[in-house]
Amino acid sequence: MSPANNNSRATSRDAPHAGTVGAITGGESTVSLARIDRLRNSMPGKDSLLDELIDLFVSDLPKRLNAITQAIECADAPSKMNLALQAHALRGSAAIFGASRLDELCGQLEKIGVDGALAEAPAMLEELGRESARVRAALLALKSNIAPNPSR
Amino acid sequence: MAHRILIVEDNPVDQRLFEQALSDPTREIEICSDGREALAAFERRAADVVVSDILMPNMEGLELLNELHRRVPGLPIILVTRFGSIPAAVAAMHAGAFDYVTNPVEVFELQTRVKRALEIDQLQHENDTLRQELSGRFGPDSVVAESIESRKLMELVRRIAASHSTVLIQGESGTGKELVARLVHYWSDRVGRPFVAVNCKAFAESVLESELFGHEKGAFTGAIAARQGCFERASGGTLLLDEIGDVSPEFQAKLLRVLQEGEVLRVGGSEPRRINVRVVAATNSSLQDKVAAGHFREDLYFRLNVILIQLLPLRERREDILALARNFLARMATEAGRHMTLDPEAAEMLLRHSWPGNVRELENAIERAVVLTRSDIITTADLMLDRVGGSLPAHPTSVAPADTPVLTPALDEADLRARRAAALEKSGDVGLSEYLDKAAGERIARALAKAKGNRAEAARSLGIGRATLYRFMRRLGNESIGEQRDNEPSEQ
Repeated sequence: MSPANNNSRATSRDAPHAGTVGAITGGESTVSLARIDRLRNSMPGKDSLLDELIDLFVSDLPKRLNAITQAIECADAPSKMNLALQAHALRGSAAIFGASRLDELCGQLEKIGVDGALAEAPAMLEELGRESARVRAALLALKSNIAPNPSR
Repeated sequence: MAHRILIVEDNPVDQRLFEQALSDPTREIEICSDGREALAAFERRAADVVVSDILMPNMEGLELLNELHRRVPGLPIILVTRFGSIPAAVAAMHAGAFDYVTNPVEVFELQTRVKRALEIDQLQHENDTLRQELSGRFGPDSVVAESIESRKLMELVRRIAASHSTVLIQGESGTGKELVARLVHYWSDRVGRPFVAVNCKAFAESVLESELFGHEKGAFTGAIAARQGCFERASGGTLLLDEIGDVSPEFQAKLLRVLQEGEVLRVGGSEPRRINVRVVAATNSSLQDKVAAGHFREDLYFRLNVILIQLLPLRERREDILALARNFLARMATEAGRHMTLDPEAAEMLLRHSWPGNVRELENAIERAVVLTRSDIITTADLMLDRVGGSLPAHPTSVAPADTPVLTPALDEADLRARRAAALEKSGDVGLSEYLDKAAGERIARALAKAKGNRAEAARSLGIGRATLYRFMRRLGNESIGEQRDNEPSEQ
């Protein structure tokens, strides 16, 4: 999308095409299996945690998207700060699942919120909605495929 | 005791992940959604480690860090920054963060950093305790117990320390009630946790309540911020309630409720807070007599008097006198890099004295002699106890008798001895110790003036340690000595 995107992706430790990693759904970078694997392996004995984290992400997502939309529409100073905060929070969740494109979009919105230059923000909303839906679908698909006792 | 960890994060996925990553049977974890909530949770009960996002609603991570460090300097705080955000990580460390982790957080990294923070926090506690033991002279080997009675007492304290019961210490003023309370703490498994001492008599009733139970912001005029009380500050440790026999019946009722319920309600607060504190109460009067006279609640008496330690006055354990005196002398001489001894007549004088002010009076007498003498041998002339017998006041004050002659700054050893003799003639028995204290105070003031206020230099010129100088100044009141110093003409 822009040089900024490339920079952001270059700093990601969980680029979806790294090593044996692949995306769950059709897109190039929806969520990172490597990241999710590492997360699962780092919490032995807590098999249901990943399911729980996915549920939390899915239930929190509409609220975050709504808050981001409202902040962009309102465009006053408190809303700009709120845009940064909401984007930052969603970005944190996205990063946990290695959802790098969603992570990037949120990072850009966070920066826009901090800088206060909202001109580009409305155009980004549409892509944010699309990418969020892809991540949500990918995670729900992953959840339904999670084996009770993964041996990876 | 469980370690308490605060997680401050506003996205639920991170909240749950961090909580699960850090959960452990030895830990208690509380989740807060923003800085303001975290501060409130911390006010309710302090935490051992805080893990906080750097960007949050209401209060950002760095602001929270500053607020928490204002309350507990050095509290380990781990900030969560964005991966690749070097400026944020640098800012976090500059601001005093213990460490930082980057998002997306690697579970192992987070666990390792928190574990390290807890270990260092524990080491810090132990280090503080050891330092306290060394400087506070509460190590088991440094307690002077020469008489059979004192040795039995130390055995009793050792056994009591191992239990968790409330302790009541009774004894005349100056018999060492606070020392024994500290031993109960330092020899127990609460060592490493706070020891907090409160003199109940030193506060007006309304202030005492706030001092002990804490207050919320706006609870009364001047309560500009919420404040923990002594019960909360002593969390996990021991609280000494000194002069417990002097609190009013109303306050006794409030105290009883706290001890019964195991929770305190801050002044102006609505939510009680659980406390885990061992209470040691002390009094120089007989609580039983106060109960019989209807001045002390019987139910509170029984709650405090689970284990009773009765301290004997120094006159009833005379074998301790010389051992204590030599211990005080050695400590003060070591501080000054000197070797000082008592001459046989001075030792005899100490044994003859009745010590109505007990160990505190003995310590003061030795301290005063060390300040006044210029020799390395303390003589009867330095002690001046023979003429005063048992009438030496137990709590000398810095106020000299009205007819005390004003001492000039130019005191030398001959001067001092002459003045001591004159003091005896002039003041008679009563007030002699005050007079001698004043003479010692003037000598200190003169040394300070010569050293232009440099206390280390003043102590050196007096041949005493800085600690002795400070103790003496504290006892006499800095201000009176300071005034003398300021008014003195400079000899330089």
